[in-house]
Amino acid sequence: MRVPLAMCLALAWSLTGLALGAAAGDDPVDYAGSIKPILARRCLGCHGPEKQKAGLRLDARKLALKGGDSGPAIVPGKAAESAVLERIVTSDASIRMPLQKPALPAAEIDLLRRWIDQGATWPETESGRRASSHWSFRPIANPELPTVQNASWPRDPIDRFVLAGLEPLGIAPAREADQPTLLRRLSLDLTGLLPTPEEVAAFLADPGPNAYEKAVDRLLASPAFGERWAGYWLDLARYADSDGFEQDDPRPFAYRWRDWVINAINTDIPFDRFTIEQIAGDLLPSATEDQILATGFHRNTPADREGGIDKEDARRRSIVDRVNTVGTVWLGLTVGCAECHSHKFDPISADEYYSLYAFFNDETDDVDRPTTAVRNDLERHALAVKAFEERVARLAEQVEKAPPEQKPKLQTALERVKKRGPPELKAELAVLGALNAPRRTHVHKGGNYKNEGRAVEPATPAVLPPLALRDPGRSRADRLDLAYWLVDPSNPLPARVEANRIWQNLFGEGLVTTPDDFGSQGARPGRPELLDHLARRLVQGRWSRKKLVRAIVCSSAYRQASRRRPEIDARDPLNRLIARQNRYRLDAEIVRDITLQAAGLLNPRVGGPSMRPPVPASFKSFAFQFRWATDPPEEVHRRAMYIFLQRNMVFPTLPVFDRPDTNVTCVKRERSNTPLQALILLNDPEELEAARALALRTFSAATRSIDAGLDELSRICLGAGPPPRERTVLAGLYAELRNRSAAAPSDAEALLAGAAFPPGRPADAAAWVGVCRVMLNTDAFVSRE
Amino acid sequence: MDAFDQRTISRRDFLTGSASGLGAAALGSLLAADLAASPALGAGGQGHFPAKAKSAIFIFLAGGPSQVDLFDPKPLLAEHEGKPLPESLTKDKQFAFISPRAKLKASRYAFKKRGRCGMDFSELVPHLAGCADDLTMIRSMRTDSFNHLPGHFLLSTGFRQFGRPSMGAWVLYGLGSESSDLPGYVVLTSGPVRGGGANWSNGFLPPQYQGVRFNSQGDPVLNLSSPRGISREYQRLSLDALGALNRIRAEEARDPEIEARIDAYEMAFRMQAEAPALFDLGGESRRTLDDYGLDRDFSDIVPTAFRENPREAAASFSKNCLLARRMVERGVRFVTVFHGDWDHHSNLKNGLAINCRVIDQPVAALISDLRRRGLLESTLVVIAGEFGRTCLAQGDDGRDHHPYAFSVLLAGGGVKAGHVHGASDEFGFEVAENPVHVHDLHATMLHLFGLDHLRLTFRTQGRDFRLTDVAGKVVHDILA
Repeated sequence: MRVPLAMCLALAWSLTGLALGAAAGDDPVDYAGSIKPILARRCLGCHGPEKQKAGLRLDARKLALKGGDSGPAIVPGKAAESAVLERIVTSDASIRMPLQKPALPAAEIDLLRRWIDQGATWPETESGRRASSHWSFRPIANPELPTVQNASWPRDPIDRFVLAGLEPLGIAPAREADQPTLLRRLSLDLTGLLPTPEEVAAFLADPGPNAYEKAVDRLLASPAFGERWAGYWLDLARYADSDGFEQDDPRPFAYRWRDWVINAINTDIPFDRFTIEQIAGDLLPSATEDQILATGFHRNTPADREGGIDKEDARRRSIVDRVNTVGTVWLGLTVGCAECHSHKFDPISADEYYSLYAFFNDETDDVDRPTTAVRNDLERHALAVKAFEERVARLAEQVEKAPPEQKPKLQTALERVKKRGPPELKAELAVLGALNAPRRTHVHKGGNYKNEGRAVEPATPAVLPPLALRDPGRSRADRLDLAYWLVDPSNPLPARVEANRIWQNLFGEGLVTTPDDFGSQGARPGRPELLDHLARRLVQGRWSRKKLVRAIVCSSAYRQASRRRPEIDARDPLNRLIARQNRYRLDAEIVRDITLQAAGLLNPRVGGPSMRPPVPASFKSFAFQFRWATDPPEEVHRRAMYIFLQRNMVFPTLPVFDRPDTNVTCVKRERSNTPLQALILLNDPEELEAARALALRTFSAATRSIDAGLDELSRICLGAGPPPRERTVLAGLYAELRNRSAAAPSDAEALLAGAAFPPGRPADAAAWVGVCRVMLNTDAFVSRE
Repeated sequence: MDAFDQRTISRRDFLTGSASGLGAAALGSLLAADLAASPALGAGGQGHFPAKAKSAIFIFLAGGPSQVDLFDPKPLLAEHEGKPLPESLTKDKQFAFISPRAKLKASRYAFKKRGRCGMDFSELVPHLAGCADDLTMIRSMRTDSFNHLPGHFLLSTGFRQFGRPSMGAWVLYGLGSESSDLPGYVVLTSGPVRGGGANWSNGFLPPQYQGVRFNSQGDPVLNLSSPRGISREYQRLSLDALGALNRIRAEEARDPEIEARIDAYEMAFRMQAEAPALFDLGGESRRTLDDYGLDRDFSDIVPTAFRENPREAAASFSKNCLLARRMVERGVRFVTVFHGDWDHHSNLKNGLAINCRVIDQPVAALISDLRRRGLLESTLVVIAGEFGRTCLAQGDDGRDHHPYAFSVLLAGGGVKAGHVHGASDEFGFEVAENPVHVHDLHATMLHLFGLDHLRLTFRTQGRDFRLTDVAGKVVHDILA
């Protein structure tokens, strides 16, 4: 899957006019772009800063020229006389480098040879604008639409790219998924919700050629679209409702930023503006409160408020987190590696790391900006005051009951709580703001801020296009300049990275499978032309994400069935060729959302303060700071993205379904499949409540006939009535559970828990609850196919 | 081959054998291991070299226990009580709360040589002292953080910040689990834990390696019990139908993930039967229960603040130690038992008295019990806090955090018995000889498991990560 080096033709930044090192002809070979990655990957493990086998070190020019125990390793201009090359190409496997590893590919040997012949140009310090031939640093190409034989399959240019990968291998794309599956997939992907039986019926009944596109537009316009796609962004932004670290204090107004994201996605704020406002909305001329609020992105950093900490160290650690997060989210680069030393694989030096750091350090501070409390906040505050009063009453009672020798101590503690008083209502937005007395940034040698290295100015990595000051009259760049630079069309990374993520959300896997690493150690894109095509469309479509999402979901590639074909699986197990859709378990929050939705319990209210569903008592026993006042049922039946994200005690069922740690940015969720998930879906009180509600909802149909009940149940959950074999299993289950429930009436009664089933038929009702419970547990229900 | 992110090779690919080149024969055992939530991917289940330890029990004394008062006698302190340390020692040193000019404070407890080996212990831990001939005591531990949370993370995950896999996750990744009915990595807590689940996180390793926290009261695992009204028979009927539905789907979609889900449900059903058996202490003799101190009365312990509940922590700790042994017997690979809080900035006298009363007897009982059952040889027991406490006073009755020299105990699993390694200086302020960093402790623990800390790596974010970050060396001197 590696891009043949021969393809890496000399492509230069038009801005810099520099020719690039590449493989063709005698083009100069570039150290940073071509040689350094080879040395890093193949040689430095034994001949680098940590180990110097045979006394040889190849990570600096001087040392490499000096060589090791057996003399100079590199003779500039003379590859044939250079020991390094000799040892790499020798046919004697016992001494061939790298020892006991496969020989280097011919293309790499060729690069090394030409580089040495050209004089082994090796910048002493890797500063100054550089060019790299690594694929992701190159400008976004405008790949020509490939010609394909099957002219009827492609609906969108995307399909031509996909098909062009399949046809030479003699592979036909998968057939289109059936209509109910397609609508279910589409609804889940765009809104994270099930299509209702009515929506399915309308879709199937629409004979028009654009029935599918109409469904796409309806779903894109649904407020739930913003919720679902904000969810992805919250993972990237390491959003949480509390500080984390030891104290883990709540952030009662963090939700305002989360709602900003939902709204931005629903109104399809272009990705460039979305970026600029989050990076530096506060610096925009006459910034609105919303634009300032957007910078709350950076305030999602965990905050250490432990007593006795080194506060300057904590402040700097949060800046490191911001730099690393921006590097991952917008550049797809592991810039964090350069915090302690120059990046070993990618062209980012420690100086450059701290130049990025300077954007967030020199003129910026965390600001808590007073704002108007809205009704939501007032209601929530009233609850908090009530909770405080109850706590005081409870503690007073404890003091009352305590044995005399313990009383004074408890009394003191009670006084302390009272003195602290009820929570104040102080509505504040956590944002970034300007700093009056600018700081200076130095390189922190070894990542230690007390070990100051060179002073640096705010600047962007030299391997990427240069940063332009928006006001040439100023001498220093600021965060707003950085923001404009990120989304400048000449910057190839953010568009590629974002387009890849959009693809990942619609296929379960990106074209680049390491969405956090577009650098030399990351995976190469399976379909580089397709990625560039998408990235280009994103930019040219004025950065509208809805447009790109629409194009992808309308493509034939997206509409393929997910069923595996063994003969193709054998050749392409990871489906890099996109010869089918992927089938996978839904995200943690979505599993809960659709369960509540099927049960008819989901409260669709968009946005607002986060809520706290009931948690098991055991949950609090290890929490260092326990504050979890359960909200009323209607409130907790909102979507799972609104569950209060207390960093140190995440609502317990979510991590079991791979909800990521909220402390660092997450670009890709795991999808595990464990017995603990089974225990939740089978036994969690919330699940059983949903099964009961779903049974109530479908019971009158089931009372008419089991077939009618199963039809309705299956339509709600899976978008279609059950096929014959499933119908037989479910009907059989109903009969057996009914016998079992009739024989154990007290079990039946306990299971129904007083739910409002028609009286007189507890065994039927208990059996039907069981059928609904099994339906909610099926792999098909919790999967997107 | 392209550099890639190991996460892109999913369990799915291992199950189908497609990406890993595993033979079909390996699939059966992998499948079983997957259901135990932990196939060994890191070192092929065999380890890099023969292992001494098969399991570990890590007793995490959270908050920073005072080694000056427990394990590392410093008679010189009594002579210099009330004087500051020489400035040459304290310059460049950071403390959380005290000034470098704080005054020396001698321990108020008598130390005695114990066991045939003559290891010094304070009178606060008479039972542990009775195990002297089973223990290795490291008196030259160092860590990088003088604050709790980074200290916790460094000890739990080898890195000062969030997001890295914990020790247990690495071991499970390297060796897999030997239990088909229980998770391979279990966490028990007595008292609150700073940072919560980040201490037993899988980090970037696949999620099946994360520690599973068992509750010592109520349902040991979240939702282990069926809801009221759902009998074992009702559950069985439901699972039969569910299995049939999922099998039909698997035939149609040909997705191996569905087969894995069917098996996960069956494993869950077995766990529902087996995990309660783990918690049923009915088969333990009266003597065992008494040894661990299960029924001790802690009603006289006074809570110091409302949010902490030392009584609850005290009552659960004995049980957690016994449960740890029962888990090891059942093939659980890694058990972490947290006990807190040892953060005695003030109230040192009372706090130590209570905590030692809580932990001393059960930890000693655990070590003796493992030895009696022939399990100590293959079970590594580690007793450690994230740092120690200063030889300098904080207020009238406290000590501050001290990362520069503290003590850690180990037993079994291939470490020397009756051995003291390293030493602190005569004030107990700095390491005087044979420093052991937390990374070294981790490297040594992995070594005992037959794992090379340099080779147990996981590739993500463009590079290979390991438990020991970029440091760590095996402390060969403590290996038996």
